[in-house]
This record gives sequence, structure tokens and C-alpha cells, in this order.
Amino acid sequence: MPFLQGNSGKRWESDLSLVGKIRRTLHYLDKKVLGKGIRRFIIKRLIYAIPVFFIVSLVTWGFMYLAKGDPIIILTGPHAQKELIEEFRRQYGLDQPLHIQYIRWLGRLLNGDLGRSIITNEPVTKMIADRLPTTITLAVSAMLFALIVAIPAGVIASTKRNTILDYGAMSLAIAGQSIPDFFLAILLIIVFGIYLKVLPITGYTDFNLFISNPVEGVRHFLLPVISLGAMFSALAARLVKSGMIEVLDQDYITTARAKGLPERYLVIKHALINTLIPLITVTATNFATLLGGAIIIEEIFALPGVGRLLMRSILYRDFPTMQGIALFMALVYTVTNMVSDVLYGLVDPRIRVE
Amino acid sequence: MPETLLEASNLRMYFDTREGAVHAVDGVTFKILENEIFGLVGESGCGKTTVARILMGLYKPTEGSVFYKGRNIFSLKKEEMRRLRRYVQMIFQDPYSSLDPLMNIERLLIEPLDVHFDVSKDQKRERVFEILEKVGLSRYHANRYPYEFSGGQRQRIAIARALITKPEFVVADEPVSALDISIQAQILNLMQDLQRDLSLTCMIIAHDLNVIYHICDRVAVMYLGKIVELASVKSIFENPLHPYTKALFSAIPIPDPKVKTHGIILGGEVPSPLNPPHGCRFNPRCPFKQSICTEREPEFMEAGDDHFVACHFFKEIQEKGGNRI
Amino acid sequence: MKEATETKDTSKAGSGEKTTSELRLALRQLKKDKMSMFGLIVIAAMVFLAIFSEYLTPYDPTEQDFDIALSPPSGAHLLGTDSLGRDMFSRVITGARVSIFVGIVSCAIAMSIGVPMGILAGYGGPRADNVVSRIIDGIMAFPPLLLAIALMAVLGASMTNVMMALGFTISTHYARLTRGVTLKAKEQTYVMAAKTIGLKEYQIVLKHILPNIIAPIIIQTTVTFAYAIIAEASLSFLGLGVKPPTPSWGLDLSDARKYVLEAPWLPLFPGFAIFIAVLAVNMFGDGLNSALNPRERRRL
Repeated sequence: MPFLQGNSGKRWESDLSLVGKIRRTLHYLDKKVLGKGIRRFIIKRLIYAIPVFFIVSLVTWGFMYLAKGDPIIILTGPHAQKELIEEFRRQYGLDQPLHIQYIRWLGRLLNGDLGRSIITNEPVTKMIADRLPTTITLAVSAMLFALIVAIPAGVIASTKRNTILDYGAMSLAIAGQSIPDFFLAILLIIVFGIYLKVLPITGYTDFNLFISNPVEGVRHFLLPVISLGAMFSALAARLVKSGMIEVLDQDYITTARAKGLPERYLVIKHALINTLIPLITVTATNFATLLGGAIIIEEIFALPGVGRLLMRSILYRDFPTMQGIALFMALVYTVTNMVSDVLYGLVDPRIRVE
Repeated sequence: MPETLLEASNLRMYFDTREGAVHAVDGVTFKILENEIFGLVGESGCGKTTVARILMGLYKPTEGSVFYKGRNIFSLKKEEMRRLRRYVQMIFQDPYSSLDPLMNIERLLIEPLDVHFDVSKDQKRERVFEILEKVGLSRYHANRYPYEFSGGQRQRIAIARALITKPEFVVADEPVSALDISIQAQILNLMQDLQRDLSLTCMIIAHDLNVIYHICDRVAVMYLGKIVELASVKSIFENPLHPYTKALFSAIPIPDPKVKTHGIILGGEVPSPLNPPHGCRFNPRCPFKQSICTEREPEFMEAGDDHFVACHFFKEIQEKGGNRI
Repeated sequence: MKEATETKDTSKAGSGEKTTSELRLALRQLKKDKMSMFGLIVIAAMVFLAIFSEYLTPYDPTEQDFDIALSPPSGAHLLGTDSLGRDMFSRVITGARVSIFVGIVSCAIAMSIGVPMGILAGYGGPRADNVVSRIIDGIMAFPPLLLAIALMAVLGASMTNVMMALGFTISTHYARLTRGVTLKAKEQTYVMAAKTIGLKEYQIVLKHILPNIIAPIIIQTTVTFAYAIIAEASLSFLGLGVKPPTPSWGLDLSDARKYVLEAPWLPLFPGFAIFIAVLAVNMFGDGLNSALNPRERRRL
């Protein structure tokens, strides 16, 4: 039974008041638009994303007021000229009540206008777009690297339980989860960059490097990707291992084994697939950590990505850029989560019933 | 002439789900008299637990009212309702989750006293020991935790908790369903003794007719949200009128090889309460179904000495001898 | 003809409530778990260092001496000196103070915001749940480090601000967790029994819900404590954390990195300090989780 106090039944079917009409309309929309099954699931997710988006925009906008000082100066920078200040004041409507300001800001946002950088006067959207490929490559590569390492490690650890391989892998995993990514980066730099001189530490200028000289590009990206992905890899390995164990211990696997099905087949087909499904959600959730970590990694390796842009804009107090990047990253993460939810819903039929 | 302690009047409870409204309880009316043990029996999902919760004031019914000693409990203010709870208590089905596992027995039993009485801790503790002994446990159990007790013992604790405030009316929701058969009789006997000693009025919810037979005075049989038959236990066991009741009795094993059972075996399953059948709700499974049964709901009418039934043809069925020997 | 009473076992298994005997069993297993005991000892050592650092450091960690800047480990300076000539050993020991302190306070702030929010969402009914959950979702839409960085950029670097920023960022995790376990606890029969006894809602929450949700919250705290340590170090590393000259491992690491060519040994010390601290918390947390979570419990 769903609600403890649920008791309206179909009372509103005969209710002629406004409330009754509203309820009937909502009920109709629910049936017609939302429909059933996967469609309902997807649309509901989208609908839920809307208030989230509003809150994200509200928080980002609200940052402006957290900082000390006149918001205008924050936006224009301390060296701006009088005309610019007036322009900003008018554009942002800062002499107007708060909710008006928010609505205007929101309006600009929905038009794709994230403002302009104080320093370079470029549109923030352009600056982000220029640096996006680097960051995305970094984050996605780190994610893939993590999974490529973690999944086999977890599988092996689960099938060869209580052996050296298991203990070794799991010790490595718990260590990997404990080491901060920037420290790992420095260690890798010391070992590979300075002593062995195998991989470059700096020198990646922009994304075109990949196009012109892919090998060089990969060389430049190797250390950053490993540093960023190590933590998630450790986490994923442990999850894969425990997930596999959970499945392999179940009765239906024992039955299949008794029937004579080959072990390898069982392991790969049943256990792995079942473990991969929750792994999707975990990966999506951890994507946020990867995005955050990318900020530091880009700083250390001087990669011109969105994260580095953020740090620079903080340094120069380039507020619109800061805001724009924060908003952008939040949106990327939200979309990622939605996609992963939908994927999960497609794969696991139980979820669709909610 | 015993007084009516509690009266349920045309109770309806509809739950909103995505697939529509679930008519968990659909027009239930009955009276419970002072000092009687009233039974409510039916299959899973027939709505009996929902009725119990409505009587306890945990659910507010979609329609209908509950009168306790003549007062409509849903028109009471919050504070008045809370004070009423001293006199109306409940025993739950699952002894493993109805006691907070982090509280020892003394704390568990003192809790109701703390709510309703303003006396010293020692006096309360005395009362705790008193009630523990009454349910067949000892005062030395008071500082133990629920996990240290068996199911039957836990249920005794639950009974103690229900009785500690000296209530007038106790609802027991399947009090022995979760217990081993050997323990069930013990607990039922205990409840019977307590009811007598303390002059309680009880309502017992069950799905097992043996339980009803053991301790109830009167019983109502529920099916799919409605009461189909209501009578004294003697009357209903000797002469079940509704086909559903007859079928229920046919399913009870009788350990007497001489007794033959003209069993009425029910086919099919209970339909979903989302879409109850038209007319008499029992008609899809009723061996005596006629066309009128799919059109009109039977009225709940008196068939004899305080024996009520809702069936179009109960007289004819009875005449044809369709009951158990 | 007995109805299934599935509530019997699953209610104990996943909802976080523990009976006293199981608690005792769990604690016993915990003590036998070498890794988590090791972790606990290290944590205790760190707390000790944090409290008594003034008496344990051979030098004043903020005392600068450019003559001996960037010198390698030696007899006089066990871990060498940093770019300003400060003794690394002293700085590492004192750095524990910041890490532990920030970790504890951030978690405390996060709990005091997050747990009530979670209870409100879980216990307060679908309407409260919707509103609170959307707010939590909105805040969690920001990658946590990004949120912390943005907050610190706006508030300015200082230890107090770090604790507040991290406290705010971490609170959402507590809120989500609390909401989940509260929802489960709310469905337990003893909560309904409490209602029939006549307890008021707030009494039910305090007496019956709260004690039964504490266990998962404590486990979560080990995770968030480890995270807080890393987060503080990350923020300080980026220059957005505690302000110098307060010794912080993150600050030291960032400083050392600039001179990694001249003194490649230097980043190792603050770095390993962070690593060992977090490792200890994680090991202990793992042990705690295994002990309190019946599914993962190994046979004694």
C-alpha cells in the first residue's frame, strides 16, 4: 500500500471545485503524456531535472552575493572604467530587486549567454568551448582507464579469492583510494618525468596536438590520465569484486555449475553482466569526482582545459568566467546522471516499475 | 444486555495508486460489544489489517466513521485522541519487528506509561514487573533485550506492552501467525485468560479459522474489502451460510477419520482489489453462481439469530445441504 | 497456513538497526581485524600528534632560515627543509593538527546540517521529501571539489572558511544517506507501535528513528572524514585552503612541487603524510563496515 493516509480514491471525479478540476487535469496528463513503462520513466526523470536546474542556477547566481564587496566591482573587476560599470549595472539590473536580477540572469542563461570574461572580454561560452575537448578527453580517458584496469582486476580478485592475487589487488586498491590524485601526479612526475625522462611534464598547448601528432598527444596525456583515474579505478575494482562475489554466491549459479556449465562462461556471462549494471550508476556518480579532480590535474600538468581556466579566473577574480564554469560543470554532471539513469532503466527492467 | 463498545460504520478505505484506486475496504459495518472477543477473518489482502488500522486511528478512512463509546474518534482533537490511546491498544503480527531492538524490555514497557501517567519511576517499574508476571514472564527479564527472547516470548512482551496501561479495548492483528504451531495455543490461551481477568474487549484478526474457533465469541468473515458473513462462532461453525465461509471451513483439516468433508474447493485466486468483480465480489469463484450474482451486490441481511450474511441464495444453498457434516 | 513474515530478517539486515548482541559480536570481529586495528592506532597517533605537536616538534614549524632552504634530510633536520628553510619534520607533525581538526569540524558541520535534512525528507512525508530532495539534488549537481573551490574562491582562504565550505559540501551526502535509512526505519512495525501508544511525532523520531539510523551514519563518517582530509589538502594545494603560515600538508606539497627539480625528496614527506592518514581512516572504516554490515561479515 503506497501511502499511509492515502484516501482520496476517486472522490475528485465528482468534485466540481477548482481543486477538483486541477486534479482531474493532472490525472489526465499523467495518463496521456507520461504513459507507462520506460517512456514514463524517462519523462519523469526529465521533469525532475527541471527544479534541479533551477536550483543549480540559483546557487551559481547566489555565489555573487557571498563574496564581500560590491557585486558590480566583483563583476567588472577593480580596474573597470565608469562607462563599463554603468553598462554592467544596467545590464545586470543590480539596482533592481533581487528576484528581478535572478530572472534576468536566468533569461540570459537560457539564451546561452554566460557573460563575458572581465579579463579578455571573450564570451565565457567560447572560452569554455575552446578548452572543453581537453577536459573531456582527460576525464573520459581517466574513466576508461580506470574501468579497463578495474574490471579485470575485480574479476580476477573475485574468482581467485584469498590468493596472493586477491590480496595484492585489494591492497593496491585500498592504497589507490587513499592517495590524493595530486600526490600521485607528483610521484609519477618524479619517477617518469624526471628520473626516467620517459614522459613529458609540460608542453601540451592545445587539443590540436592530438590531431597533428597523436602519439605525442597520448604521451602528454598518459600521466594525467593515470593520476586522475587511479582513485576511481581502485574504488571500481573493489565494487566489481564484491559485486561478482555476491552474484557468484547465489543459488542459481550453483545450480548452473551443477548442471555442468563451464566456469568461464558463468563468470563472464552472468556474474559480470549483473555487476556491470550497478557499475554504470557508480561510474556516473563518480564522474563528478573526475571532473573536480581534473581541475587539479590540469593545474599540475599545465593542460589548457576548463579546470585550468577556472583556476586562472579565480586568480584574476574573473567572476563571470567562474560562474560560467561552475554552472557548466554542474549541467554536464546532471546530464551524465540522467543518461546513466536512463541507461540503467533500460537495462534493468525492475527499475522502470519504480 | 451488553453495551456496544465500538462501532464501525460504513468504513471505506481507498488508496490512490498509479493504476487506479484500490478499494481496500469497501463498506464495512459491525459492532463490538463489551467484554467480547470479536474475530475478523479472511485471506491475505481482504482488507482486515486495514480495518484494524482504521479502528486504531492510524488510517483516516475515505468514508465512514468509527465510534468508540459513542464518540466519533476521527472528530476528536489530537490531544483527545492521544489520551484515548490509553484505552485502545494494539498487538502486532510480527514479534520480531514490533519491538524496538535497541530498547530493553523495561524501557519498552515503560514507554506507554510515560505517555499516559504522571507517577514516579519506581511506581512505573512496579507496574512493569506486575505485567511481566501476568503474561508469564518474570521481572528478571526486564533488563534484557528483545533479541534474547524467542518469538513466543516476544509476543508475550508485546501483549504486556498493550495491557500495561489497563486498556479497555485491544486489537490483535494476527497475533499468532508468526509463531510456531506449538506456541500458538499457548499464546491464545494466555490472551483468553487475560481477557477474562482484565475484562477486556478484544478484536482478533486472523486468517486461520482454528484461531478464531479457539477464542472468539463472534466473528466476521471478510472477502475483498467486504464482510460476507457475521455471526457467533458457534453459529458460524455449525451452520456457515456464505459459500466463501463454507469453502474456508472445507479447508480445515479435521483429525477425525470418521468425519467426511463435502469439501467445497475454491478455484482461482483472489482477484485484485483494483478491479473487483461486478455484483457479488465472490461470484467468479462461487460454485453456486447465478446470473444475478454478476449484476447486483447482495445485501447484508439477517439470516437467523444474530447471524448476518451477504448472499443472494444463502437460503437455497442451505436447503440443498451444501455444508459440511 | 502461515503467512510469510519476510519482515523478520530483512528488517535487521539492511536497515542499519543493530541489536546489542550483534553489536558486541561486531566489535569483537573488529578487534580481530588487523588492518582496521592498525588504522585505528594510526588515527589515534595522528590525533595525539595533533594535540601535542608543540611539544613534539624539534623546531618551530614557521621559523624560516633561508640559508638552509631545500636541504636534504640530515641529522639536524630529519626530513630536510622546505623552500623557506623551515624544518620539514616539524611541519609534517604540525600539519596533522590542521588535517585532523578540519576533518572533524567539517564532518560535524556536515552532520548537523545533513542529518536533520535527511530526517525531514525521510520522515516528513512526500511533500517535504520532494522539496528537500530537489534541493539536495541541486547542490549535489556540482562536483564536490568544484563546489568547495568555488566557495573558497568567494569566501577567501582561511581555516574557518575551509571548514564551513567543506561542511556544506559534505552535508548533502549525509542528507541522502539519512533520508534513505529514515525511510526504511519509518516502515518498521515498532514505529507504528509507537504511534498506537500515543507518542508524539518528534518523540518517535528521537526515541525510535534516530538510534536506529546511527550505525550507517557512523560508517559514512569514516568515509567523509577521509574525504575531508583529502579535500582540505587539495584546497590548500591550490592555494584556496588554509592560509600560510599555518602548516598544512597540502600547502607543503604545493610548495615542494615548485622545487621538485632541486629537491625531489621534498614532496614525499607531506604527500605520504596525507596518504597514511587517509589510508588509516579507510582501513578502519572498511573494518567497521564489514563488522556492522551482516552481508559482508566473515566468519570468525
